[in-house]
Amino acid sequence: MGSKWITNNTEKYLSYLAYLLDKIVPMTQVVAVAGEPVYLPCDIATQDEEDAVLLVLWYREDLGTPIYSVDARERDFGVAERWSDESVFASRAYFLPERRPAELGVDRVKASDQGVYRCRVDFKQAQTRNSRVNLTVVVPPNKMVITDDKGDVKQAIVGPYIEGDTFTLKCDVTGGRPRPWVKWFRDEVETDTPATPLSGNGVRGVLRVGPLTRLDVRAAFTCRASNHARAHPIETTLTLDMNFPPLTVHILGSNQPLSASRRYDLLCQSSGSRPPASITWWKNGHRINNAKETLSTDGNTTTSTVSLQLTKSDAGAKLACRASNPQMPSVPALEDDWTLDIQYVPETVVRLGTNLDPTNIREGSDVYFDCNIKAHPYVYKVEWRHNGKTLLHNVGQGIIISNQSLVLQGVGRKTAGNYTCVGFNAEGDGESKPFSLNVLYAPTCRSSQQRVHGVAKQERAHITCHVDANPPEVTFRWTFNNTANSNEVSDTYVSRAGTSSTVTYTPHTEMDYGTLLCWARNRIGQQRVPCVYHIIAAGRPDQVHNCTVVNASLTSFGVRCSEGFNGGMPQSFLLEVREIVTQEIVANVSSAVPRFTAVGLNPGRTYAAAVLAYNAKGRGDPYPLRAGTLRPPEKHHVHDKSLDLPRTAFQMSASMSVAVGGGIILMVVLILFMIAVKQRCAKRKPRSAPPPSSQPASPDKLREKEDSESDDRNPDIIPSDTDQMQMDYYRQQQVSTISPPLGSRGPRGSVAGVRGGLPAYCPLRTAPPPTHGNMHEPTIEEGYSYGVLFVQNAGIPPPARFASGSCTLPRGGSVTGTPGGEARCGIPLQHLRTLPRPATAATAAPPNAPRVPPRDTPL
Amino acid sequence: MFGRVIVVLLLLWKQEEVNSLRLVELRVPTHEREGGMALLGCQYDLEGDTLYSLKWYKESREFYRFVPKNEPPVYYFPTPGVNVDIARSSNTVVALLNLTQESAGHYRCEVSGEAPLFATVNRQKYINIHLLPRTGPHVTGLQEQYKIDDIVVANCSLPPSRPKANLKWLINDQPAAAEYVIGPWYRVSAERPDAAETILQLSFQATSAHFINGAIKLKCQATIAPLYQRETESTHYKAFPITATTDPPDVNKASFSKDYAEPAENSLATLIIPILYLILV
Repeated sequence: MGSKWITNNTEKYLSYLAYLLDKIVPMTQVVAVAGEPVYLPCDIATQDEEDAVLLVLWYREDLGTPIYSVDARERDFGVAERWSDESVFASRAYFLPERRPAELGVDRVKASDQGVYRCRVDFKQAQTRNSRVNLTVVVPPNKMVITDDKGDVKQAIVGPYIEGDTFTLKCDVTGGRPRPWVKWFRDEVETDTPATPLSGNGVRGVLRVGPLTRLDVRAAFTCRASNHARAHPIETTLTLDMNFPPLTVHILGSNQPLSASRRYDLLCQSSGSRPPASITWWKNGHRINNAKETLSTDGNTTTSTVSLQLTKSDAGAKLACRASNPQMPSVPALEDDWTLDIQYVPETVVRLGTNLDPTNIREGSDVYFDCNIKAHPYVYKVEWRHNGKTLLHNVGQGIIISNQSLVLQGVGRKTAGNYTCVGFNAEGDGESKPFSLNVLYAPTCRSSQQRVHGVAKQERAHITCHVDANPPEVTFRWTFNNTANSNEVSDTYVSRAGTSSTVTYTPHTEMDYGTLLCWARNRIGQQRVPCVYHIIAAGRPDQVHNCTVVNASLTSFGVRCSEGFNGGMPQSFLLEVREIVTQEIVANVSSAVPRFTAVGLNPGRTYAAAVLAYNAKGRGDPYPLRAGTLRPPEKHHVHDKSLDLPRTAFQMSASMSVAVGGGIILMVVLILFMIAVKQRCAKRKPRSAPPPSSQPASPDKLREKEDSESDDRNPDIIPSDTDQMQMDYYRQQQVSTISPPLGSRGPRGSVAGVRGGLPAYCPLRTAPPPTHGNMHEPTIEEGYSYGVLFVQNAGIPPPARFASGSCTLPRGGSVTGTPGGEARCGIPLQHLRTLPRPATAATAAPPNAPRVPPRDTPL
Repeated sequence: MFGRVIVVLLLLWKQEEVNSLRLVELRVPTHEREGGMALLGCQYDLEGDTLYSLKWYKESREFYRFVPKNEPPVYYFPTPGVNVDIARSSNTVVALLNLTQESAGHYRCEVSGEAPLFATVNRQKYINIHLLPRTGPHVTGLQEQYKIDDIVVANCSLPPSRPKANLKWLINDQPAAAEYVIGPWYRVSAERPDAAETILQLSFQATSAHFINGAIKLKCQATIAPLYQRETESTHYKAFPITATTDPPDVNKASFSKDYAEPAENSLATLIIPILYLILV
């Protein structure tokens, strides 16, 4: 206690002394920054001319001995002895006597140089002069450490922080003297910086930042510290790093319908995230992996592209694009959704009617198809194709197309083939797989086969019968007819290959010439009309006819003829050209067909030509004609006018008059015939026997008949307009095989009986009865509900072809008591109603359907 | 080995320190009275060095130097209040005559060795110059006798001094209670503005306790440390109201006259008067 009091007193005393010294010895304040040179003033000026400076001594107050001296006691001041304490200024100090006041310069001043210096000047005469200099050495701060709230040292970047954060930065500056000031700058704008002193000469400047917003990102915080205006401040700049969650995410062009099976590049953009957002794609919660990300140049917007090929099954799926900041896993991702609307080409399937057996569809039966369609958008059109060719709705031809159904009435062998349905929507045309319709039919005779065989006696002939049949598994039966009798041909003469059968036949007597009939059978049935082969005695061919000259030139002309009967054997043809005058043969051309060209002739000459046929039995009669080559051009014109024109004109007029006359006669006959038929029908008479159609008696007649009977044109389901008559005939014929006629005729109407319908049909077609419209209204409701309902056309009179068809194939009219003889003229079609109908047709069916008589049951 | 080297170095350093110039004693009076003289002594040990200069400063002004190499070595600068007696001054002592108020101040002795180090030591002391009063304290206002319950009032004044003197009243040689003392007052002297007369009043009601053996002893003491202390003392007997008619004025007069006696005579009187008083009673 006592010693402390003494110490205290001593200190007080010393400070009092210092105070006094300060008062009595002038003191100059000098401040220097470490490293700089400093100049300590010391006035050595003399008052008197006589006087002189003897000695200059520099003391540092804490040291007893001088630290620098200039001794000029025994010499001139200019060469005075200078001495510097090695342990203090050493060579850094140099006295500058010429300055006013004189100065002691000290280079590279050090922190340890700080102190009070005294300069004592001894004069020769004047009183000793003491002056003092308080040298303050400023040592700039040399260490700056910035720490964040966690105490981590920050160098260049602070953060990352998120929005709403607040934080403080402590800037600790040490190593300087005197205690430096410290200031925080934000983007070079000074902020209010509370500072607290640290131990030593340190100081801490605190910066408070926040709450942060997005605008604060990349803010530059600079801590700057210095302790003297001349001292270079030290500073550290930190850049604020922040993390932001994404602000937006959008699937570009979303909610538009997409086409299936097309590849789309879908874009999703997200902006506002820092660091850039990472974008993921999801389909129904499953990650899509092939996305590619691109970043905008400013780094703010991430665009993700995903290449997708969507399918129909993706319809309604939720496509999502999620944007998240990978540095902020706790922030839920931003999501944009798109419920996919997938449009696709219609998918179509052709289905045969459920109660139909595709393996057992026979010629003449009715077939219907449904087209099962899956489509989005829904189809605007459905089309049916047969072997790639578009089918049109045509009730007359038995093609009924409703919404998605196809009805084929009375299928034939040409109806067979591949059926497809095509759905149309904006995405395209969807064609189904083909449905192969296989129509079975009984064998028929194949056209264009040799019908007449000229055979010599004892000659072995091979007569081959070709038939068409489906299925092609056929058996053959041959019979031989002559004028006397009919015999079965023994199987020993018959061989079979597929749908062909060959009989080996050798006529021995005159009775062996006649007609061979070939009957084929498959599981569908027996061939109705046999193939007929005439065995005649072979002879030389008939004369060719209708020969004309064609393609005349200066040195050649051509000749064409129609061939005549070949005499029962293969024939060839010969053209002979002779000079008229000399009868010299100038050309001799043979050919398998009666078409020739004679060459090497002289121009402008007329020749005598003859065409003849020949076979193994000899030559036919020649057909003579005159043919000329062309004249040279300058004479040709004159020749035409003078010679050819009058003759051709005369020929034309003559043939014309004959044709007109024949036509008028034919017309009259037809009108009379029609009147007769109409009267018969009106009296409700059963169909009369067919007009006399004599059985083939002569080979020529028979040949014509056969050609017409077995002609394949007849059963065409889609005939040309000119074949309308044959088409209707065919329909009647087919129907008759299915449904028993109302009349007295049995279900298996003979060929002759069917043929008998033909005359009845023809007058109806050309001259419909006046009650036509009234007569057909009920029939439309009854039998034709199919077609009529589908076209929504019940009240409109059917078109002409419709009418003709209905006339030929009468139905409910007789049952409902509708007057009109043609009701009994045809065969009803009630069986059609039993065909399964599409749902739309069923719902649209008229309520008066029960009027159908119970006996109209199908087979 | 290394430690031994350090020890040797320390010894060498210490040696050098010991060998350097050393100021042994600065013998300078702290207080001197105006008009007197003073001897300033500066004892130093050159420790082998050669003396370059010995300088005396008053404040920062050099007034005396002793440079052996100069001829003459002693040189002084006329300075107000500093009258150097050259005859009695040397390389260690400076004699100052006729001290005045201006002589007060810091006196510094600075001793420097020779080149090249010019080792220098200096030390300084402050000399106070006091103006002492011409006489001792003068007391007025006292009665010869006091009765119980009488009010005793007295003024003690000291002629002008610098610094101001410290006055003190003592009752029966005990410092007077603070409530009995009023003042001091200072009155600046007309002829010496730097000096002031000092007055201190004593005032109290006499009680029987104040009377020791029937008398009160009052003393005024003046002090100017450390040069001066004087006092004036008086003794006052207890007066009885019944015998108030019998010669009280004489006694009072005798007592009063004693106030002016020398301090030594005063003390003799205070011894005799109570005895006489007792005999008479």
